[in-house]
This record gives sequence, C-alpha cells and structure tokens, in this order.
Amino acid sequence: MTAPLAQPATPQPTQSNVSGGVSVRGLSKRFFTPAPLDAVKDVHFSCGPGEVFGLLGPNGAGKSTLLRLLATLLEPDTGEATLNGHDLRAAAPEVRASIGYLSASTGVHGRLTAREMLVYTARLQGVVEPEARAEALLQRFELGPHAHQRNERLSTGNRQKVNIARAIVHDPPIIIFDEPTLGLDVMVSQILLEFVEEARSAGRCVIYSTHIMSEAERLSDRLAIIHGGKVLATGTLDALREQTGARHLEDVFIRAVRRAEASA
Amino acid sequence: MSGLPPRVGALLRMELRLLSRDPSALMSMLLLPLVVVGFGVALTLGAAGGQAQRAAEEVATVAGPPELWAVVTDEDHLQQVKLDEDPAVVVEVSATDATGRPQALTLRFEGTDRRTLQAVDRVEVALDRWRAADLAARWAEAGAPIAPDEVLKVELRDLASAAQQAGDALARLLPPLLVAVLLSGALPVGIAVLPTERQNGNLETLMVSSLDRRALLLGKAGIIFGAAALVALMGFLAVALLIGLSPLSLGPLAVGPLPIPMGRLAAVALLAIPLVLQVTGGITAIAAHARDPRQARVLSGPLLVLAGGLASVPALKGAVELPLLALLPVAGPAIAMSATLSDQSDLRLTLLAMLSGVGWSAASLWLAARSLRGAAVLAGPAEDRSAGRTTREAVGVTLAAFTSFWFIGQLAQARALIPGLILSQFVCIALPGILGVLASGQPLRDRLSLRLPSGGDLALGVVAGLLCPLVGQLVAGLQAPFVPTPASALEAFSAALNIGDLPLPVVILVFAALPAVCEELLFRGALLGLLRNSLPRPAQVVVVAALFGLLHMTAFRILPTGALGLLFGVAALRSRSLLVPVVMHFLNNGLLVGLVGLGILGEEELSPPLWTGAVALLVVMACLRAMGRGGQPETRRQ
Repeated sequence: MTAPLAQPATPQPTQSNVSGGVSVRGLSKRFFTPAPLDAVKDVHFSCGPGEVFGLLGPNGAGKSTLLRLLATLLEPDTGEATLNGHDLRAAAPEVRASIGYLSASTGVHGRLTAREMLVYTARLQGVVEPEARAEALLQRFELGPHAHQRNERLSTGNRQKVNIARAIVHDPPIIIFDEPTLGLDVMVSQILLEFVEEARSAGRCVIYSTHIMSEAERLSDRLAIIHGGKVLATGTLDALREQTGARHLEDVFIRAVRRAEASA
Repeated sequence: MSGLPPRVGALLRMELRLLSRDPSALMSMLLLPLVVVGFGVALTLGAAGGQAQRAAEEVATVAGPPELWAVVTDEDHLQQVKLDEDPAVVVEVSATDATGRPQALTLRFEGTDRRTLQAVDRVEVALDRWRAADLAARWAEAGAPIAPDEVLKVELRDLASAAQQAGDALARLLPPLLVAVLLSGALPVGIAVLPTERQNGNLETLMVSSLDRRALLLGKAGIIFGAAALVALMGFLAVALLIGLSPLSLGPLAVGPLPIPMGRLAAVALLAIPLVLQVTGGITAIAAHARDPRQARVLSGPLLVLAGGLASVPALKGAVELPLLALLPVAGPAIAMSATLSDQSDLRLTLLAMLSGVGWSAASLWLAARSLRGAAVLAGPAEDRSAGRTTREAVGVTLAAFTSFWFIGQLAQARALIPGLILSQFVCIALPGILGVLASGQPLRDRLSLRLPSGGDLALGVVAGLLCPLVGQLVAGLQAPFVPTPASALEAFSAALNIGDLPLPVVILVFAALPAVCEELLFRGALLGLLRNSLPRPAQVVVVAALFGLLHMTAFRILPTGALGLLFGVAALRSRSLLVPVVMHFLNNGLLVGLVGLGILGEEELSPPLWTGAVALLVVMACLRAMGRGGQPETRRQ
C-alpha cells in the first residue's frame, strides 16, 4: 500500500485502522409508505479485515437500504450489527468514525476546490493534521495538478477520485460503497475498482453493492445475493456456483432469484 | 465526541466559504434589505414634506345644554376615557350662541397616527354613550328636546398632505415588509445549506462522517442565523435611519414612552432577536425536512405569506389581538415589533415575543434534528409512519382552514356579512376538512362519521344541545374576572343579526344551521377522524376542542367555545355519528340567535345565575355518558 494512507487519522487513535470487521445479525427494516414494504428482512452476514464483500441484487432489492442501515443513515427495526467492534445502535458516532461511505449519488461541492474540500472534511472528521492529510490524498490520487480548480470544472473521473478521497479522509478501517460505479464509464469505474483492490490488500473491510455481474465476479471475495430484502445465498463465488449448479455468476444469480420466487 | 465547538467552527467556515461563492444567495441576501431602505427614505420624505400641515380637525356641531359641554371639557372625564397621559386630543368649545350656550365642539389632534386616531375614537365612544344613555331624557327635562341622532354629527377632516398620508400607509407596510425581507433573505441560504446539499449528495457524506449530529445541526442553523441576522441588521438599520431622520413628533413613528427603560431603537433591536431566531428555526426545520430545494421553496412559501400577513394584522385591524399573538408564534415578534413601531408598545408584548421567539426556535431546531436524525427523506420511501395514521393531513387541514378563515373569511365578512359568512363557512371551514380527508386516501364517510345515530343518542343530543347555551354562559361567567366579555360584544352580535332586517328563519339558517354543519364537518368530522389513529381518544377531543375555541379568535370566546367543543367531541365519539354534534351545535347557536332575534336578549346581557349553568353541565354530562349505550346504530362498524 502507499505511504499516505497509513497516516493515523481516525478520532479513535487507540483502534488499529485495519482491525475491524463487520458482523450483521438479523437486520430488518420496514417502510410504511407508499405501501408497507420489508426493504431489508433478517439479513445476516459478516466481512472480515482484508475482505471484499459484494452485495448483488437487482434494483429495489434492498441493497441500498441495507448499506444505509450500516452507515447509520437509517435505524434498523430489529437485528444487530457490529462494525469495527462498535454496536450499530449503541455507538453510532463511533461506527460513523469507523466507516468511509460512498454512494452513487454522492456529489462534490462544486464551488470548492478539491484541496479545500478535503481539508474541510478532514477538519470535520477531527483529523489531526488536515492540510497534510489532504495533500497526501491529492498525491495518492494524482489530483495535484487539479487541486486548485473548483470541483465543478473537474472531469467525471477526477470528481470520482475526489469523492473517494473524501470518503477515506479519516482513514477508516471499513469501507462501504453503494453502487459506486453507477453511471460511470469504464475508465472511471476502473479507478474505483483499483482502489477497492488496494483497500483489500491494505487490510480494510470493504462492503459494496452492485448489480453489475462482472464487477462482482472480479472483486468479491464473498458474495450475497439479495432479492426482495432477503439474502438468498451467501458464499464465495465457487460456493455459489456449487449451490446453484450454474457456471456464470449471471446464471447463479438468475437461478437463485427464480428459486426464491418459486418457493415464495 | 471530542471537541464540539471546533467541529461547529469548521463547518461554519466551510459554509461561509460556500456562501461567499454563491452569487444568487448573496444577491438576495444583500439586495432585499435595500428595498426596506427605499421604503424608509420614501417614508421620511413623505413625513418631512407634510410637516407644516400636519394637523387634523374633527368638528362636531352640536346643540345642547351647557352642562354637557362642561362634562365633555372636564379634565376628570378626559382621564376617564384614558387620555390622561400626554393627551393627544384636545376637546374645546369652539362656538357659543348669544346666550353663551355651546354650539360647536372641536376635537383637535395632531397627526394621523394610530394612537391619536384611537384616542379620537375613545372620545367619540364617550360622546356616543352620553347620547345613548340618559341624554335625551335630560334634554327633555331642560326643555330642549332633540333627537339623539342630531346631537353629534361627526365630520372628520384629515389635514395631512397626500405625501403624509402615503407615509402613514408605508409605515403600516413596514413590519410585514421587514418580515418578508428577513424570510426571503435567509431562505436562499437555508435552501443552499440543506436541501441543495442533499440533492448534490453532500449532506449524506456529512451525516455519515464522525461529525456529531448536534454539531451538524448547530453549524447549519448557525449559517442560516448569520444570514438572517445580517439581513435583519440591514433592514432594521434602515428603520433606525428612518426614526433618526424623522422628528419624533412626526407621524406614525412618533410613539409615546416605551415600557422598558431604553430607546425605541433598542426595543426594535430587541424584538428583532426573537424574529431572527424564529426565522432561523423555521427555515432550518423546513430545509432539513425537504427532499430537494424545490420542495423547500414550496414548503416555506406559506410560512412567508403567513408571517408577512400576520405582521400586517395590527395595521389592518388597528389593534393587536393578544391571543392571536400567543397562538401563532411565527409572527409573534413581528406583530410586537409592528406594535412598537406604531406605538402600542407594551411590556407584555415584548416579553411574549421574546418567549415565543425562543420557544419557536427551539421547537423548530428539535424538528430539524429529528428530520436529520431519522434521515427519512434520504431513504426514498418515508419511514416511521404506521398505516392509517393521518396526523400530517390533520395538521394540513388545520393550517388551511385557519389561515383561509382568518384572512380570506374575515375579509369577506367585513365586506359583506351574510355572503361573506356563507363563503367562509363553505370555502374556509367545510372544504378544507373534506379535501383533507380525500387527500388522506381514507374512506370519506368513515372518517367524517357520516352515519345515522340511534334514536336514543339523537334524543340525548337534543336535550344536551338545548342546555349548551347555559354551559357556555357558565364558562363565560367563570372566566369573567380574568377575561371579561366586552359589553359591546352582544350589541355587535345583535346589530349583525339585524342587518337587512332578514326574517328570523333566514337568520337562524345563516347563523345557526350553516356554522353547525360546516364547523362540525371540519372539527368533529375531518379533524377528529384524521387524528383517530394518532392520539388517544381524550387527547383527540381536547386537541380538536382547543382548535375549535381558537378559531373564534377573540379572547373572551376561546374558553366558552372550547368547552362546548369538548362536549361536541365527546358526543361525536360516543354516538359515532356526526349528526349528534351537528344537532347540539345547531340548538346552541339557534337558541342564542333566536333569543336575540326575538328581542328577548338585546341591550341587556343575559346573565342567568351560575348555578343554572352548573346544573346544565351536569345534565349534559349525564346525557353524554348515556350515549352509545342504547341500541347500536345499524351502520355501526366493527
């Protein structure tokens, strides 16, 4: 891993940055409008340090809701989760300090420069030396030449780099990406995928959702197939292939969903 | 979390930098107060131009015995009509006949500001009372019988110049204008820091950062407060300039001594603080709740209109309705400020404004914190709404009915009483209720309790309804030491009924049947139905009764009507039919209207002994207890 990322920055300096894993036990979330809907129902999974866990499911499967629950943006109705040793309900602020969250809809402050945005976010996150941290991240993502430009003038790719940099400005042990490649072209997606691989080798716990099979196939150490708020299958890609008897992930997915629909 | 203040400071610095690069927000923040400055300059010029001619005369040509004019010019009496401090109106005998008997009376007053005009009103009322009471008799004894109407012919001649009068009008516009400027100056900032950030995906990032939620809220509210304070400072500076420029003796801003030992400017500034607090709180709450900037603008539009409209209430009505001030905290400080500017300054108003400012702001920030914490709007579908719960619709119905009734309805009634009454009952009262239930998607007949009651319940309702006027009198009697019923109220009521000499059935239809149906549709129908799954039953009845009382606006009517509302509410719940409270309401109104219409209740106030009211209350309560126990209504569900 590159040197800049090693700088200790979280508000919990006693915690090792790579120690945490994620353990989810029976999380459920129900929405009531427009009609009652079990967006997430009794979901279990875990993801250890240095592991990339993919949530694979069609649109509306409950992936985003699940990740929002983990990011403390929503409160679960039932169930528990531990992130980096912190309980999701009892220690939400500590959980937030332990995660870097990025979704497809995450944007940048168009009127700030990349450097300003990183410095401010670092300050808000309580990073000890915000300027140094921002500089390190700008170099890591090769944003140096654009650091003085307002974000609104950056290319999509560079914007996504700024986004990633902001999400990890406090050097979190857990990374949660919600459909991070949605709407991005291949070259820009590549930046993200490279980052995920790098995070894995740095010992971080990465959870991300996607509905793109090739991404899931390439990146995930383990996968969960989500449909209708429920986890239909969990395991490594090989294990899933064995379970469903299909070779390609796409077929694995389709068979899992059909089986669930048939039994429902 | 370590160090809340540094985090808030960091957030504020970021917001400030963002704001400094947002030309549209800056423009509206800085340009809008200039409008106020323009008004201030216009007002000052108008006031200065008319200075020389600033006097007005009211000449009352009279004929009568000398003792009348002795009484009129008597200092003691002037004090009696509350002109004791710095009398604004001088009453003098301006012409006498050959025998020395007064022929004309002149009321001289300087300026056309509200306080002076009110003093003139008080003198006129005093003269009116003499005329109406025993004057005719005394004149008959003195051998100079004169028809009472001829005693005093009021002719008002306002000697102020056109510029002066324009200045007065502008001064009355100033408070609502200040409120509107403040709101629309702070609004773009509020929208920029919350809903726009949410739409751009930046708010989410802040919310999953280790930044404490309190810090987040304080930082966001802080930047809105800063913008509001800056705009307020500029707006109030314009007013200050205005006050400084115009000689204190001039026009609408010439006020008497303030209740608090400080300058008028300081008082205006003091009132600006709760106003800024309220605007900050309100905008933060709305902005935190809104899904996107457009929704924030839509949501805050009514707030802007409401606050500006309420701030103009004193100017329109010529008096501050204290209960209104206490009820609608949004515009409390604005109304108090308007009163201070116009000169009805009162320590209670100032304190009430401060309290409502702090209270409203705290409540709004709490709401904003909830919106942020729940993050419901981030999640797409809203959360935390149990099926069938229609609290929001109930709040919407209440706001729609109250604002339209208070503004449109009152205005319509002031123009033409009978058509205005019909319009306001149908459009402002019944319609919002029905539309609210339709909007909630709930079955209309069920939520409005549109089903026939059992014969027994209806009979009990009739008995209770016949006794309701006595219960109302009981409450009015009990509250009299604290909130007296003005003597003029019954006269006004009686006068209203006599308009156009309508036949009694028509009067009863308009004043009893119409309100009974429309108001019950709104209160015991729509509101009670919409709150059905939101509150426990006793709370539903109390809340709806309180709203029913508040709709009647005037202080002395709130408690009696509220008490009747409790009885109607209990009747509606127990009988499960809207018809029972409609009948009770109709009988109550009909009895009062009929008694007045038949001349049984007229100039004299009806004051039955309190014990009759107490007995009536006991009987009514027994009737209500017995309801719903007899035969079950056929259409009853479950």
